[in-house]
Amino acid sequence: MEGRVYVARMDAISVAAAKTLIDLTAPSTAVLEILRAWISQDTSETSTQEVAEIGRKTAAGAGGAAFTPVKFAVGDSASGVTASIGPTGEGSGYSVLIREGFNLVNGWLYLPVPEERIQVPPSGIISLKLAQVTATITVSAGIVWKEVG
Amino acid sequence: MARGSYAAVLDPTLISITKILVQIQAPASAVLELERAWVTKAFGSAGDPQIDQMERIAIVRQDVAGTGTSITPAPLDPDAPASGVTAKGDIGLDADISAYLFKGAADIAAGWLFVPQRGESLIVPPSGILGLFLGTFEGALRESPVFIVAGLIWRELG
Repeated sequence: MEGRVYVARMDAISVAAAKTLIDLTAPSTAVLEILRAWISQDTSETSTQEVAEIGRKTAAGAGGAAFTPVKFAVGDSASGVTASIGPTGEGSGYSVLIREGFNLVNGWLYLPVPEERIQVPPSGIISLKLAQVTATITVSAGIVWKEVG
Repeated sequence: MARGSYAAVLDPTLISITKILVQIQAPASAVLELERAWVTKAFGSAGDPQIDQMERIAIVRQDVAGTGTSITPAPLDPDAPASGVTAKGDIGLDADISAYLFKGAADIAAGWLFVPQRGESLIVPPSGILGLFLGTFEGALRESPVFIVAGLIWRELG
């Protein structure tokens, strides 16, 4: 199964409370396979435990900034994904797939082996969330996916 | 068909401002596939390498190469032919970034490592330019100057 690889990012945005960082909505004509996700921050060297989540939604959160997915191979076609960065609403129908604690100084990296990669069906929604925030931080986060179809 | 894998390493260099640390430009006759990228604080007379230091790090595409110190790509297989890549380190602000591929932050005392997974290929087209960036053009480093070691490893196809 081959596919085209894209990334969507939240770049250095201040986050003061638990919230969705990125919502991805798959196009109706393709399946997504999540290859990588990360959450990092660059405003604190204080050891603090926070919580990261990846989950599915039935409705994406409203009020996010649109992000045009960046392709990993220059010659590929544009992604069909709708990427929303830092939505102000949480949407609905959220169900958690991955939930992990992490230390803010280390950051969080999700790098599934091929057999455990999350699949997002056509028109499906996948979300990257910071589920716990102790103090305001400047977050850089992202999701890399393969688009098949 | 792969010609081989090569490394361009920025030896401990005193970095005072946000900049591209390592830049590679593919030859007109080959495509590059990124295999590894890293940034770490190094021991030196400036800064404290053992103190946690969060910094922004990015992998970028450039439409204009910047000036810098030439680095001769080292083949990982000593029998591989010489690389066709033009590699430079400690790049000036004359470089121009066209797209950010990875953008995150890390504690560079612990070090930052990017290893693309199978199927996650990050491709540089013929004559394309890829850069490893520390910080942002808009912001200063959180601690500076600081000695940095960084590098890129890629596979050359064509």
